[in-house]
Amino acid sequence: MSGENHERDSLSEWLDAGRCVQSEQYKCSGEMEHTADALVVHGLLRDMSRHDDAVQERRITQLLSRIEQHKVIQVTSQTISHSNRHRTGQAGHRFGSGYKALACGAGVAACLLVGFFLTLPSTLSAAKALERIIQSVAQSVDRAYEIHVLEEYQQRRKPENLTEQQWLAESKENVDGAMLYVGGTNRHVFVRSSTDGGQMKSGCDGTESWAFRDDGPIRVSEDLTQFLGKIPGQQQSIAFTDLYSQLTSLRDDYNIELSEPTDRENRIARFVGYRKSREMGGPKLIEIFFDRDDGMIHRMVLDGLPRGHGGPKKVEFVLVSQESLDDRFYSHAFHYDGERKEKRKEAQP
Amino acid sequence: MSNHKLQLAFEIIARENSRMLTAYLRTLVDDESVVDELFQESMIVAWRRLDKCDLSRPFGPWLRGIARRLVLAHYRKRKALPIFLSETLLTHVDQQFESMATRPGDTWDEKVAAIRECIAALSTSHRAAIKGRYFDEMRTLELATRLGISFEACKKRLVRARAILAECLTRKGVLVPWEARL
Repeated sequence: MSGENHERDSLSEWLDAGRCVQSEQYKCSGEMEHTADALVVHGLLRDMSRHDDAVQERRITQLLSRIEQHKVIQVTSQTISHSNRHRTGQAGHRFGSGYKALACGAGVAACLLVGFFLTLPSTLSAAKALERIIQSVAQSVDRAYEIHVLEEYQQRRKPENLTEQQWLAESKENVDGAMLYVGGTNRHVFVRSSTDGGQMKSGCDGTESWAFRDDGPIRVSEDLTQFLGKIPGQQQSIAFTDLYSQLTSLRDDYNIELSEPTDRENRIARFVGYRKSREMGGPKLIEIFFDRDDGMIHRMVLDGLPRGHGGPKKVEFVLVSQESLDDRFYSHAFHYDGERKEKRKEAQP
Repeated sequence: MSNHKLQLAFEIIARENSRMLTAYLRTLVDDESVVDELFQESMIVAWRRLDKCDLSRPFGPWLRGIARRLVLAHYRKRKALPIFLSETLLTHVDQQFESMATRPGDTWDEKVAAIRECIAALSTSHRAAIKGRYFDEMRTLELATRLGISFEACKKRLVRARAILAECLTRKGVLVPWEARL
């Protein structure tokens, strides 16, 4: 093995020049193994130079704390539910009379958050508020949002940047009244109706993504981004249902502002992001009403959604539930009875 | 197994594999905050899906499989998936990590200790390039200025240095020679 020219230019561009190569010029070849070796060596060097025992220990501690938190939520959920599983029609929530368990769970959660609250600064900057909101969305805590269409595009004249086909396209999915269930970075279920009266569901459980119509086969993929849901605004660079990515894009692609509540008793603050450039994709304006203490989003408005392929101009997400869902809720099998035909799609990098 | 025992068992497995997972993520992702996020997410998914894991088989490849999907999802969401990060390439990377994980040694650092010897055996110019790029965290352009060479020459020197290190690690049995791979 000579080593000369083994590392393809695209890899070197990525590692050393900080450029992302996405052209089709790079093809799999006999050099793949050498490229893989170069990448592994890069990883080992990166790991050697960045490793810190204390930081690694903090990672583990944080992980164990998250697992403990997850267990508390699970135990609370199971106690409340009396093992009564509800289907999606009832949002998969666990209802019951276990108020003591709920109070107990809430107490433990409150204890976990006490330290966090005590260290809160008296005022928040917009950047800190955004990080708090992102952190909250990333948590493995179940939330359900109902989606309402607030404004449709007026059919006046075709914008210059759209083709005739894009301009005339009608979305086959109805977002108004849709439900989005979020349980962390890569766990969600999106339920909406189609224009022909059927129901469509898509989701991701962290290991695979899936989608199906009520009368169709289950499409499953190892690509977690495969069925993120394209509406509204199919031109968006970030999928509508991917709250986490939507929010992280605010860091760089939007100018952000924060309005603090004027009275101390009102904990809901307002955060607004204005898109810096049309080239960024995504809605023109994102308005978030969130709990300034824990970052929980109570209402989010996306205004100026990209209009290609149909879809509304302005939508809102309203928090309707924070009840724990069955842990299997994010898997497709939870959402139908009996056997359904499954079509597995190979991941395409 | 009770839930408490299961958690303790998972903690042991997580600790055993944490260094490997971090190194794997650092191989595929540069941003350290993303490495942190994906580390937590991979472990949490593994914990949630523990009932799906065949515990009679090594845990490392299963954990890397989860991490791999999350890494790909991370890039796809940002429309920034490098074209060379194909399934085939990731399979080769995984093979090398499995080779390293099964090396003698109690810790990850012991298993990959040979890399220090390989760095020491580099020529002065290659060692300077690796030191500047990785241990001083310099950008290639800065490094080129420090070394008094052009940007392109600096890139080539880094490419060559990494290839020599790969050869050295293969000779020492840390990496699998490509002829021996599936």
